[in-house]
Amino acid sequence: MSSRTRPRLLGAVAAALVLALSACGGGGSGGGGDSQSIKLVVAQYTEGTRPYWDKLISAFEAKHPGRNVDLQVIDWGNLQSQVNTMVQTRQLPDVLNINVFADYAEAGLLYRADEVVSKQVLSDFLPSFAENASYDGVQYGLPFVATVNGMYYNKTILKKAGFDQPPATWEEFRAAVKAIKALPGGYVPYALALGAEGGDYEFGTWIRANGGDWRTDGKWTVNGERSVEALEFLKSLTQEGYTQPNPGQTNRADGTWPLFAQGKVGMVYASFGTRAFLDPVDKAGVDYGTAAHPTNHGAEATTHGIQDYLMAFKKDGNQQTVREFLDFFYQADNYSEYLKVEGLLPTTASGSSAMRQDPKVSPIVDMVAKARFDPTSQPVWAELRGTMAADLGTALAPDGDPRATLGKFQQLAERP
Amino acid sequence: MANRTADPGLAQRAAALWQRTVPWRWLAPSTVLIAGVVLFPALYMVWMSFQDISRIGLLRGFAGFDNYVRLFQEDALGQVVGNTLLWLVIVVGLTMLLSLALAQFLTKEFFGRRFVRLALLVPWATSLVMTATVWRFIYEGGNGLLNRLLMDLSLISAPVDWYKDPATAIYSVMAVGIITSMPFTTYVLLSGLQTVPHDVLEAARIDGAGAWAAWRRVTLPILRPSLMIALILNMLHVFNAFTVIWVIMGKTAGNHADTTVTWLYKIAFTAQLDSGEAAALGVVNVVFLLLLILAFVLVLRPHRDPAATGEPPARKDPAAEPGPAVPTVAAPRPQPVGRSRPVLLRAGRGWQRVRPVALPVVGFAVALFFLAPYAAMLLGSLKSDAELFAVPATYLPESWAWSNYADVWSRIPLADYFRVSMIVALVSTVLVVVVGAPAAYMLARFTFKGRAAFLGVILVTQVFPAVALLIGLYQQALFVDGINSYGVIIAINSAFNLAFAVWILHAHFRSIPVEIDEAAMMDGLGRFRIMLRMTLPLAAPGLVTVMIFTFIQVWNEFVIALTLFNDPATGRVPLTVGVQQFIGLYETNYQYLFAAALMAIVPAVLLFALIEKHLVSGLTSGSTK
Repeated sequence: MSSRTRPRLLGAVAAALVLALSACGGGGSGGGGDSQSIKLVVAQYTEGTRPYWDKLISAFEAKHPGRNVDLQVIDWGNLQSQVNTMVQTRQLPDVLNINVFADYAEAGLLYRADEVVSKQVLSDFLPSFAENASYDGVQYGLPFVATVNGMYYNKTILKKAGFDQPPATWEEFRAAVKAIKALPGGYVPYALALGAEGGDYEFGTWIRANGGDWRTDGKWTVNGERSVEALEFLKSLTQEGYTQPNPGQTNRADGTWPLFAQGKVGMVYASFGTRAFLDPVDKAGVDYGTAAHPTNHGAEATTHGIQDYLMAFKKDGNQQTVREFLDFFYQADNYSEYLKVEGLLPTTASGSSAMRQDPKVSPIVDMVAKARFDPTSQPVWAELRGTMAADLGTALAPDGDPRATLGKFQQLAERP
Repeated sequence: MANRTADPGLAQRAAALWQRTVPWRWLAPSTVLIAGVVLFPALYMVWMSFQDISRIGLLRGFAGFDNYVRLFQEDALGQVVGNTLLWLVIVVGLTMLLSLALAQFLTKEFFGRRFVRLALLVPWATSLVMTATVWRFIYEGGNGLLNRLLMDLSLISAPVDWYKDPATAIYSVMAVGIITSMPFTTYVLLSGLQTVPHDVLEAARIDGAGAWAAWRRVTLPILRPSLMIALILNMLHVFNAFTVIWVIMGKTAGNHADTTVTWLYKIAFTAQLDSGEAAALGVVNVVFLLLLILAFVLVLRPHRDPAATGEPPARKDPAAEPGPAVPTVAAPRPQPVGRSRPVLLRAGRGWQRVRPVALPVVGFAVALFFLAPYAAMLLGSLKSDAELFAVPATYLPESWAWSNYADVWSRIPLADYFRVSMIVALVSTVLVVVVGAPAAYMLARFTFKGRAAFLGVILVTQVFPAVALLIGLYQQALFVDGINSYGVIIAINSAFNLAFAVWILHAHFRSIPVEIDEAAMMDGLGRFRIMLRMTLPLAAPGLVTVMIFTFIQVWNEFVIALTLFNDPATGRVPLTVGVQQFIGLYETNYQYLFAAALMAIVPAVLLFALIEKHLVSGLTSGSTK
């Protein structure tokens, strides 16, 4: 008889165990509907990110008793997938930090910027950044941090090759890379990064240097003549050995940047003043200069501005707390503290003037004026960017076809 | 099993019914666990594949077969399918072959064997994310360690871009795939080899069978269930080889190393941003795998063969007699004494002389091979940033920054992460054994309708790519209000690891003679006690394998924990998720990442150093009756 009751007992024990297990959790953050409590989801820029927000939140909560901010820090590699999961399961964050906003604005999920920050904060954003945070003429995104990207060059190598100035045109650029390649020491004339992490950033810069752009007069020109010419130019650089091997598979942070820091590279595309890039370069004592990329067809010399956003999601009764929190974050001292922690550039006028005090940073802040942005206010940009980043590098291979590759992207951009 | 009470009518029918449901009652806990956890997300994935889902995840309505149509129109489809099949053939094939050789080697008695076995645990115990990261590191071009080594040995003259060059990329990744699958496969086979009775081998040799014939005729048939399990699980893992490919190749352009799972991730979250199409790919993937499993279960019938032949009585002997502790040493000796050709005899004598040296040397080389990446990790954890990227790579750090190991504890709450991971992994392991053992016992001892089906169906839990199930799992966890709760993450981890446990234990239970059960039953022991007191101890090698496997799987699980169990506010962050803080947008603090990874290996290896010896002695020590 005992043999028969035993299994039932076991089943009961197992069931109880499962129940007990699921019961012992439960608590956690959950909730969310409570207007006193908001969920903040931010991207991980450096390891200083979490400590900064932890500190800011406890200062905020101390100042606004009863308010509560739940923080979630997610690394860039997983951010999009995690946020998509939240959107699809309707567990929206209240405040989100990410590099796109137009899709969320188009879907009607976001508060307008003027609904969630005070007039002072709103008028403090640099105009070009505010415009780049607008969808259909209305500002939804809150400019958060920026990088301005352009060319760093190694003065020592360029001088050895006979150049006192960085090349300003493509002809000069060709002459320079040729001369650098001829030098003993196996230098890489130009370190090119068209890998999936940010290949489209660098390529966009080259398109603009060639007098083209992603969009011209309100139309997509991803496969415009200037774009095709730019990609063919980069392909020829690659095929003739003026870059490091496999630039289509190379990324910046673990590819071209360390090479530059070792003094092996003549010129490279990098973020001006970004700590992650500059610290090793400074430490190694590389003598460097900054410039805009060399241009062709008499194009205007520009730098590439990239900004990330904060945005607030519409949820019942969260507006007050969100507004208080965002205003708190954009207070001059809190905001510049954040920039310092991450080593990134401000998107506000007051932040810029504060940064200009630092003689090391001030020339970079001025580069902001030359900055051109990618069309992030187009909802399709997120997908276009993703696809381009994933495939752009393949066009540099010997059997790559720049025109066909860009044609595919153009099709995607124009898809209704 | 006849009813002694002769109650007529209803009572009898009820009793008969009760009797008939015996197997299902034993299977109930596992069925409940799997159905409760896996069913909904799986259905949700299928449902999603018919939905029009926007780039940010908003549902826009029914899409019919649009997602499938789009999927089959993708340019990269052919290449990705080709890669996947290539991976399936090469990685699975080589993993099986090499593991079999290694397992066979590790059954030999030699100095340092334990060290080699423990060395094998290290790659297994290390989070795959970490292992893949260190491999990418080793594979770098100008600053890569592999290039440095090969150039120092004059094997290559210029650095090779192992993972960046489209020509070599997929093979480089496959090599890592093989190396990371080998430890687990070897352990499965090793525990299978423990059940090979030495006296039968000995008898075969006395009868004049050569080593090869004895191996083929005696060892191989007995090993068959283990081989089948290893093969099936390896094939399924091909489709879950996400981590290795993603960490090494995720940020390089093109699809030249993508298999279906990494491509699925790209479609969903990085390139096309289309969860619907990704779900469609998930469904196609699952259908393909189901067909593959069906082929295995129906055509090859892996779980029927061993018991069908006259094996069980033979296997009873080693269990029944206590046996000497070192039968392996004794076994080869009688071999040359028989009739042997002089050449062979001399070779055999020569081998006898060389053996005490050769085996440890080979063993040491094997251990070194498996430990090398972690040595690179250790040295990397002591280097400075600039040195990590130096061209050419340096072997040893210029200044040994041991302080990294102290710093890492204060940079992140590492101790808390350890505690959380330990709780989740230990409880999940216990749950898997508690729930899986009765099911495996029932499947091994009873024949009933639906038995084969059950074994097949639980394998199905392994065919879903975790990435594709994520949203459904999240939805489900929300429903029971279990986001960030221990209960849910433990239940999920247990459900996904149950299949392996049931299959392994089932194979081991089958190889234990039924006579033992029958004798115990006559002594008045109930079924459950028989399982607990007789069968489980006898199946110790299998049990240990299951425990190691489950613990490590849960300890290393990343994607699901990131989504469902990640709440720093209450300190509920597992280790794999926590150390991601060292990966920023522009900088990765490899030193701390590696330091944390190495320290995370220690508890796992220690734990298994303690129970691993059961793998060796389990069979003989368990059968004292």
